[in-house]
Amino acid sequence: MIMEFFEDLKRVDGVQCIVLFDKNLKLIERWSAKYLSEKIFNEIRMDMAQVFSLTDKYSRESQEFVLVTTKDKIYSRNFDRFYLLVLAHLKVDIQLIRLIVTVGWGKMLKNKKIQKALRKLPEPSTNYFAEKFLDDVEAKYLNQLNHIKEE
Amino acid sequence: MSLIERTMDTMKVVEKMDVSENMVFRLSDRRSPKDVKLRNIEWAVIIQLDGEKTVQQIADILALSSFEVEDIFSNLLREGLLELVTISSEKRIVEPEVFDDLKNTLKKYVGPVADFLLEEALEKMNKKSHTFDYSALPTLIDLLSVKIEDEMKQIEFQTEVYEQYKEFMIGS
Repeated sequence: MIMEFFEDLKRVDGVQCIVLFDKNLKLIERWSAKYLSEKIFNEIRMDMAQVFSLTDKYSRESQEFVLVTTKDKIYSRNFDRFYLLVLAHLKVDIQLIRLIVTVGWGKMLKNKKIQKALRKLPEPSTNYFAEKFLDDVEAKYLNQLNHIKEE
Repeated sequence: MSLIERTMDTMKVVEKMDVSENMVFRLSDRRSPKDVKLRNIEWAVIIQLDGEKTVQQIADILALSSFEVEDIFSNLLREGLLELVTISSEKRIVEPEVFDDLKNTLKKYVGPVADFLLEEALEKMNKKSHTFDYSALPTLIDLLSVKIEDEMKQIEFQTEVYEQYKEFMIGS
């Protein structure tokens, strides 16, 4: 239902995967042009949730970010009730992705049925900085950030 | 012509090449990077050269500005370290009427200052309207939309332009 507002993303050459999660990382909808292993899939979604949680925690509101690796780009957008994640080949223009997502979001805002469905999605209730979600490096980094904030 | 003279001739030809963002390079067999004193950023570019990534993709990965791209690749070419593999897909140049449409659409949201804002955006992108390709249109739309104060009107503007030219942008 939500994915239909971002259908044009599937037409962009090089877009490999589009995923929608609720704020507790429960899968809403998913589309893949190529196989993505569950391990990588889970790592990417956790990374995304942690980045947005971090920016929220330190009052630096962030609605979107891009991660560039040696092979792919990951674009992620933080909406009020869900996250959108796009995995794309390096050649894909992120500005085009952003434009399609913004246009899709604009249409969603005008659609009462969708707005009603979005209100039913759960509020965030997961602490992505709980010990079980962090490795040693991440835990140390967050600890350092906390010290900086206290100063 | 001696071997040295032929090599110098080839290097002169390469030296004159204008670097464009769609070009794909690989390391030349004729000269090793170890024989040249390179800056760290030039080494970073060399590591990215795989005969597949375009100049633009490497620039995106390393967050290089267009001036830096020109400077770095020109220097690497001058040193004889690069070979051109290919120039990936032909650019599709935006017709002049598109810029008129863009201005008229933007005028609905910001008034007569639209003309100036468009010129300013093109300058920021270091592009000219007569050589502007469709692949850069999303960036231009983004730069123009932030000049509209109201967030919902920004989305309206982007939607209006996108719906009109999406086939060219998605297909470019």
